[in-house]
Amino acid sequence: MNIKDQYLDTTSISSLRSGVRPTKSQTSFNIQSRAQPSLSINLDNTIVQTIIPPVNNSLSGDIEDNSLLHSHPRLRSMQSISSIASRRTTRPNTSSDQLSVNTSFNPIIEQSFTYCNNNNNNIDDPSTIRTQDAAFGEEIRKDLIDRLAQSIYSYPTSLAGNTNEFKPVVSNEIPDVFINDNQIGSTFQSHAKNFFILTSAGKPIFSMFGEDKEIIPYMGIINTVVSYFQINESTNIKTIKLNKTKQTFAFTSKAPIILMAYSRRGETTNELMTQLDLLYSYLISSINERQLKRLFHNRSNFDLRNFLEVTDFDNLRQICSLLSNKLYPDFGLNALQCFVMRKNERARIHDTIHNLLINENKNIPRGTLLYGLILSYKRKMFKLCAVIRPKGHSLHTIDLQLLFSLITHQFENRDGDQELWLPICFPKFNSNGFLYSYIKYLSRSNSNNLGSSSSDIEDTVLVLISAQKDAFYKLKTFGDKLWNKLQSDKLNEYFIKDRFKFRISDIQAPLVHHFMYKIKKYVQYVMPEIEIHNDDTNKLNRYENKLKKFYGHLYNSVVDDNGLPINKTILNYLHWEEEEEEEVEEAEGNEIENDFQREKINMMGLIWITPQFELYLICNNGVNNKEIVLRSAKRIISWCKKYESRLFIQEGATF
Amino acid sequence: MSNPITSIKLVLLGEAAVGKSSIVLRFVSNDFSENKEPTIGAAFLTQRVNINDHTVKFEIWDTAGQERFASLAPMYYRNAQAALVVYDVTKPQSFIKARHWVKELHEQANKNIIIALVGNKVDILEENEEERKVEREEAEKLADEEGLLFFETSAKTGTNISEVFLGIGEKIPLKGLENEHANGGLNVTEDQRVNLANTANASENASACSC
Amino acid sequence: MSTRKKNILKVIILGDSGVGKTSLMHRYVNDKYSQQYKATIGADFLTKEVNIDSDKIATMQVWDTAGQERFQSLGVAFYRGADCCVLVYDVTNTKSFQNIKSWRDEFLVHANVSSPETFPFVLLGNKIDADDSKKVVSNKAAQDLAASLGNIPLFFTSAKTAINVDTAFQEIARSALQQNQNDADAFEDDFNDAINIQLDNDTNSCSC
Repeated sequence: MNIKDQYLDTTSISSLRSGVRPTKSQTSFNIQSRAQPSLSINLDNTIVQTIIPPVNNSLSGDIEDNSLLHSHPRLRSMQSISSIASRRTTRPNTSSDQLSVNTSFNPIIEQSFTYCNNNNNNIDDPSTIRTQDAAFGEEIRKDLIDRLAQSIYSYPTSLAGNTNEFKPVVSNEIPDVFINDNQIGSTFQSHAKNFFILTSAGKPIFSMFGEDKEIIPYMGIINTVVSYFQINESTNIKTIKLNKTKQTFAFTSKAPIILMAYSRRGETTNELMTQLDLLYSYLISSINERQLKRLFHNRSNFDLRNFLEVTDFDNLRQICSLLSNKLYPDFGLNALQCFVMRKNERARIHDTIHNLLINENKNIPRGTLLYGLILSYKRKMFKLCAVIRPKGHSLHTIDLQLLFSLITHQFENRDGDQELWLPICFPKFNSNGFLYSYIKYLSRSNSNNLGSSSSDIEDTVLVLISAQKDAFYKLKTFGDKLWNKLQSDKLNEYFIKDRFKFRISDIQAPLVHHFMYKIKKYVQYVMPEIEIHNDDTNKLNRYENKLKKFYGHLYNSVVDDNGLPINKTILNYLHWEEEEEEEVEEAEGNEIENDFQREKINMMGLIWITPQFELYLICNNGVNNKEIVLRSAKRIISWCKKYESRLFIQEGATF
Repeated sequence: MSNPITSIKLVLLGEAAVGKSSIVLRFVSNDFSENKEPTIGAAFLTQRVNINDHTVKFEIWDTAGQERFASLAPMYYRNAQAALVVYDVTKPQSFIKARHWVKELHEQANKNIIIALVGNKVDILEENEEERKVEREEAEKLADEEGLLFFETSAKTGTNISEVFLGIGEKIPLKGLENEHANGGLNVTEDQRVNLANTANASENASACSC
Repeated sequence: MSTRKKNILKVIILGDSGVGKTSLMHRYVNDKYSQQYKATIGADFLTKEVNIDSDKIATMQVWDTAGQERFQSLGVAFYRGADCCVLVYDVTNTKSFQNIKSWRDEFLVHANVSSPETFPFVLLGNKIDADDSKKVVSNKAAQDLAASLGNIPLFFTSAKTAINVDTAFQEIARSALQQNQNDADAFEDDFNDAINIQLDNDTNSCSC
């Protein structure tokens, strides 16, 4: 099974389940198929994919050095906010000779797997008695995978073919073509998505779902699977896919930490791996890598759970939820969103900051302030209002997302006018040390004059970052002066209320339901406001999840095995439509649904990637005229270009 | 505003979850939140109170109680004129930790630092006296020996919270009155960098560019 | 506080195949005895919450490893970070008793523990419910062995009739917790490693 097939495979999974077939209708420009650096093997129904060590490493070489990120230096999370141009040309040379390594990993399957589909967690009760035979190593491997799968396999069968979540389609909604995997049941197996973090000794650190008594044995199994491949195959296992049950397990091993993502949502290995990278990065932001190594040095039994704060677990849960249930383009696009304001307004703010920096040069000596941000926070999303940074220096978007998740949490617990001084490690900047963040809440406003719906509250926050742990008072003085100055010049009014938020209808782009547009050199993106379901968290989550899946499919349609676009310039349309024969839905207590004639699903999306920008676009249901869609896409692009200086921070206050 | 103002730099120390942030929240906002999240790093808050004819401005450092942040503590208490060492009257371990903090403050902090030993969560005792695990006498003894102010408080009900800050304020103001503008006696710091008042004044006239 | 997570104690059970490791573990965790013989593949994992000395609570993560030698390559992974190692022999099987020392050595070689001299082991002689006629390992021999291994705790157990199982695991948990809590130097000053930031000095903010 090659990689191309895998992609098709994942999409066909969804189509099978939902009765909707995605069709790749057109791919212009040349798509090259690439040799893959990883090896996937179809064990009957089971694909085991491992990372093959680089050729210059001996097969028995340093296992820990085969770190996933090294093997995949181009995980698509590797851009920073000021990178001048995103060059995609330095892709790792995955020469074919790598594939010849590790030929021993060539299983001969003598018996096929059977997975018992019951609701018991059968890990301690293997159904068969194993006997010794020649394919013994193979047997162990199968057994491990078997157990991994078995113990997480059992979920209510009613979920598997559940397509009765279709709602009457209204004009500002799009249909859901994907399986509704909202959790039913209470055990950790019933979740379509889960994350596990454990130590290299198999001790639990975190799981998104699950009670200790279920999770602790399971952590042992994960640990054994990872160890088995490290020791017996000299590889880091990357992923296990079970086609029969549509389960994917993705692993990251970074001694002394092991992470595993589990998904029944057809996510690709790369998607899951980048998600694991974010979770690992969060851990590092809280306890840096040097500290982590020291804690486990001569103490491999260390219980990291007791070292972390309640806040850390809350934040990990929050990140998992963003990754699993929210649109979260900050992460998906590796870019940040910007608070819209007029060009001259933004320029005045940045000039003010810049002048103050010069004037305060004595009180805040060069080197004290490393980075500064004014952020707007609304509905758990951050937008950049202003950026203060040294020329030629920048912070990685992942680092900023970690900062945001820390601030999110503090927002929900803030009292009065407290200012915070937080040590935080920015793993993509320097994973071995801490920086210190001065955080001050500037203002709060309610854009909705009628009511006090919390979703309309906009907060503004100032963040000043230093490498000096005792720089608090210097940054505080600077921050106070900056805020006074912005207020006295009435500049604060530009960012306390979002005056220029736009809807999709503000752009003359017919048939387009939603889009995301990213300018690569700024590492920033824009998208229209999501204005439906804002009063209903469940509905909003479902809607965002839907968008997330459409966009995920779009992106996955044009990337290679490393999750990188197959070409520098790509224009691709994707189609989701219903198959003819459709399962008769069982209406279990659905009173309303049946009264409506459900609209036929006929969805189209467009992805357009160039060296300068990326455009992702979802059309309204029923649209299949590519010419019109392309015209709309071009209008969006020219609209974004026209308002570029409003929509994006181009320079910021550099010093 | 015609009152003379004294600034008091105050730091809260103590084991995690003894209620440091709750004490501050009660003092600053007269509020209480049952499920308060732990502090990460440290939070800085200010509160003005009038003591007699005098305005005292508390500049409060609410520090994280978790062990892994312990090494950051000296940064906060180094220039403090007052410290609250907080423990939980139902948690003996937290009192042991409080002893450690008192010792460390005597060794490392400003010699004239006013320390208040604060046993928090007495509201739990009102429901069930058997929950008490740190005897009042034991704490009073420590306070006597080490020359500390001593209070038993409840941030939840507000019991004794303002008394703590009042007690500290009363021990300091005269000095502050004399040196209000000179800024001398109060800030016995070797480290002028963190003297906020000085830097703030200096910046008014200083030209950014020295040439 | 309830938010505080309990200590996780990783406990490894070692011993020859068939000495009853899995049965012991099941007896302890589920309080049931499974007659059925099962050759373990790799390892089985069970968990149980334990109260130690009535004031400490921990969660025991028991790793029941396979007795067969062919699994020894995975030893490193299994033994890494263990808080206690339980050595089990069968009182009706001399060979299993003779092998205890090599199991211990095997563990120490692979586990890479920081101080092998003080690492907690517990010795269990299982199947004492068997007919006396079948018992071939004397109590004396077992006591001598326990003494020679550094006075490690010794229990005679029966997974079948539940004799001494709880007591033994209490001791196992206690030893494990002791090992687990040696974290004295965990909290060093981690904030003194300042990051050196090199800003380009040529772009001085003062232009004159």
